[in-house]
Amino acid sequence: MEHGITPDGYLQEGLTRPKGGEEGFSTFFAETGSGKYVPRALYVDLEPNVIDEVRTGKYKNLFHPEQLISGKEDAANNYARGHYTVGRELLDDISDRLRKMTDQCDGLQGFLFTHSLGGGTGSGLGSLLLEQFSNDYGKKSKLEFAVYPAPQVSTSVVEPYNTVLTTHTTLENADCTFMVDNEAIYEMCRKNLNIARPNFNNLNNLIAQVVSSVTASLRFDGSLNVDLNEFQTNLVPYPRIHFPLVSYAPVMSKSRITHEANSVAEITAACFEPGNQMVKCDPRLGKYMATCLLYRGDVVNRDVQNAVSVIKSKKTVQLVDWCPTGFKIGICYQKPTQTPESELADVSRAVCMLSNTTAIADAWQKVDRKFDLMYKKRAFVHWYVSEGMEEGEFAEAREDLAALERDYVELGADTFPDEEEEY
Amino acid sequence: MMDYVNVFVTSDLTSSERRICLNWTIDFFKSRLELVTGVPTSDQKVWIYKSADAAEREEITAHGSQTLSTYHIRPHTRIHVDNTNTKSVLKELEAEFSNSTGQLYVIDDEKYKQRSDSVLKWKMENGYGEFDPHFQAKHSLSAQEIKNRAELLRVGQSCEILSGNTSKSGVIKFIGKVDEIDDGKSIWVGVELDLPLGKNDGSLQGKRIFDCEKNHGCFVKPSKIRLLHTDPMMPSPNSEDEI
Repeated sequence: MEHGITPDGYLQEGLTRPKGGEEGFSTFFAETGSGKYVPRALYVDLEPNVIDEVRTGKYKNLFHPEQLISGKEDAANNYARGHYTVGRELLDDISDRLRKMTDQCDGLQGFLFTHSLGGGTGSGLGSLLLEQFSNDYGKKSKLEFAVYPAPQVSTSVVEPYNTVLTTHTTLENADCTFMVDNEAIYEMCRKNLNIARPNFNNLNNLIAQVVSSVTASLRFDGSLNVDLNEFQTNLVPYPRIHFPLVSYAPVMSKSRITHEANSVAEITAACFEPGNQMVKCDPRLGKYMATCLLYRGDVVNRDVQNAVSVIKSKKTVQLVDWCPTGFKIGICYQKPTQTPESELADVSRAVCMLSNTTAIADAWQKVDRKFDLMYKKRAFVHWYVSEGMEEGEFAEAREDLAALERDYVELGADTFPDEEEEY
Repeated sequence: MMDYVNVFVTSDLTSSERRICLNWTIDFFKSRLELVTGVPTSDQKVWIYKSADAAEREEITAHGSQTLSTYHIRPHTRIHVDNTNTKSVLKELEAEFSNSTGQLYVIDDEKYKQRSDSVLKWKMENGYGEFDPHFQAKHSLSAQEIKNRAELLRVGQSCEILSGNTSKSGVIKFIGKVDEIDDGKSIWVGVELDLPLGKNDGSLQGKRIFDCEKNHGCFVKPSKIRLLHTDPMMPSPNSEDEI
């Protein structure tokens, strides 16, 4: 929609070229001989019925049937099924189709992955594909959007296992992982958008808006552009520490927007509010290693500089002072577009903040704790072993995550004594 | 025609949105619920709520090859799975999750040091943080700065305490070491606040350090103090400090 393309892949009436400029536009779309535009995307699932919805839905003509891959039997919430048994059977098929697609690219920069960590397909097949891509495409960057388990309630009883296992497998293969937790998004929908009982459509809509902001600079020309590889350089000081916290503002319903000024200063400050974060954790308790602010729409650099200096002066924003990364600004003049179904208000400007903060370690700790309690009893481990997985992989994965937790401690350590205390 | 609906499946430990097919048999459905909730089919008591909000519910009592279409399941209704086995591992886990009991596995120091891809190794190799040869120097410089700032402050001066983007005004009542806070390691400034935004009445753990009303007293580091315009009533800087 943002590029002026109709659901069946043709240009909207009155347009002679897609919006976004030749360069920007072609990053995510390929043009066919007949003047149709096809997204450079691959949908994969182990069972057919979700993808069937795409096959028969509003966008059925947008995609080439080969871009929609589904198996017959699902992963049953089991990492081992997604990674070893059921998932592996689809691997060759996926690799072939991906190769066809990458052959059509002029300058392949990298891949953008979206998957969940808690279910069997997202965790198992997701990590299998990331491994495969590393083998096939070497150093091309791989960015992930990963749906992370919510702190309180799990979506399935074995979610902590799946999350720990997939994180261990992908830690080496993904370059940057943006995490989104369902509970945080749920609350945003409820509190900011007044949706009493948010469902997947509402959640996905919000996540899509964030993905759109992150990729906007690749798709449109702007005054200060940040590209895929730059994310990594700016946000990831050390390869293992690649889990930036995502915040987005404004998240506001259509009825509330008329009461808000929505200035650059306001939306920037809002990004530092826990209510605008996509993962539940408290950045005031952590230290920032790097921050990227990606603005969209009617935004001038001077306002951004002012807003940023206000943020920097706040004592609650603590930086790891020895870390070789910094504050990066991106501005894209294209304002966000809303789908007709969205509850989000149409706004003239928005900002997405990506910040690498040690506070996110809190999210790992919560999952690790659940993992430990379950694994001590060996609860449900037989579900994995019966799919051919070795029990040792559990311990190995957990050890890696324990090292990751410790890595975050090392990052937060040895800054100057805290002056914040008050008695 | 396959009829799929999205419903919310809940149990003691889980809550999720799931897609179910109304042509599934009850047996198959229950086997799916086991994979999601961890409750074995034999221990399941499954309830269908009339809607997402309603308290009214109906138990699934049908068996075997009867299909879910026996029941009236609308999109986004809630299906709850009760666990009838009170001695199950799941019940134990439920209690442990909510009490957050149990020791979190923490990596052994030696094992961590041996890892080749750790942040610790990276810091050592690049001389970051505590491995920066100038780290100690920077550290003590900042301690010196704190001392310098403390020396500029006098009891009786009007001041502001900076914290975040708010500030609190008051008068300095005390400058010095406080055993009750940090065993006398550093210098603290005791302030009587104009508004009751403090944490004490000038005493800490029963020891009176200065006098003021309840919740008007607080102690902060010298770096948090900003002096306000000089007050004609202020004692001269040469008067004795009450340290």
